[in-house]
Amino acid sequence: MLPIYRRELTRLGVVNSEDVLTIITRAQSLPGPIAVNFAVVMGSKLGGIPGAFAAVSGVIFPPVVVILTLGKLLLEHRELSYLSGFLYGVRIVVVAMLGSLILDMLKRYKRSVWEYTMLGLAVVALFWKMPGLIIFIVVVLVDLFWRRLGV
Amino acid sequence: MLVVRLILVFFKVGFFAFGGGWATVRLLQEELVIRGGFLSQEEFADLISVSQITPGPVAVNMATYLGNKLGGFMAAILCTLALVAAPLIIFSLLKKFSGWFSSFISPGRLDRALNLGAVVLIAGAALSVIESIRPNLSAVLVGLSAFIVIRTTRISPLFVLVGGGIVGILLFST
Repeated sequence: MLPIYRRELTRLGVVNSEDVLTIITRAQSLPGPIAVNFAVVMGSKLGGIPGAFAAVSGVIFPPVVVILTLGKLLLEHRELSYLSGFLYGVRIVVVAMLGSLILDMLKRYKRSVWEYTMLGLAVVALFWKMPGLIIFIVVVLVDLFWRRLGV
Repeated sequence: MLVVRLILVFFKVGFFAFGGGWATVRLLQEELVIRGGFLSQEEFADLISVSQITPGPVAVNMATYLGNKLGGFMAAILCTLALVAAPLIIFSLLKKFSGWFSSFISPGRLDRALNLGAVVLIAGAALSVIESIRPNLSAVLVGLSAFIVIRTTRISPLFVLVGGGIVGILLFST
């Protein structure tokens, strides 16, 4: 999605491709889907808070329409033989895709053995159905402060 | 009141979606499937599949679909807006307070920690989907081939997903 934004926005002439890279970096530091965050940063650069609202509305409009029509239709009939097979096949690819995404995200920083150990423990905790929010907060805090704790 | 609860769930989850929308999936499963009972594990997994073959981030798709299912059109819009409120709020706060904030936590250090937390939540999302896959040879083979295709070729993810769906029709139709 981001390459398309980049092409379209530079063609409109509102930003140059260097600006787009800065916007992507800032968008990545916000919580939320990257496409939405990009719209927040881009919109606010061009038109302040109203601009951010306008850009976000633009980004969520197409998915909202498609989910309320096609998405709803598919899910209402999800138990139909071929459709259930199709959605089940997609499910499996989603897991493969997430595995690949995790590998890419881990490449961003060089991690220590301790961090990988903590990551392993966190995954075990998730497997045992411990609340994801608590695990997330613990992992982030430990990673932030462990040098100060003298580990 | 069901709808108000749902809106609050999406509002809350939005704040933890570092590293993209996928980080919300595990949290949504806990809130909506396990604790809330708003939908079954099977429907949740199918909703993820549908989100992947339609435009838009998975978290936005979920907010729209569930809002509509439980409260109609207006609820769909409100849930979707509740989800995207987090980046809008955090961005406005960062603009005002980033100097003060970075005086005691360096942005690089924070990003490093949030990146690891995001990996944890995305692994959680993968586990949530794995739970609804019957562990047999054909599923493992389809998953591994998809992984190899994703890692070694530049084929667009959408085609790999649709390819997986077509293989699914042949192998898993009931």
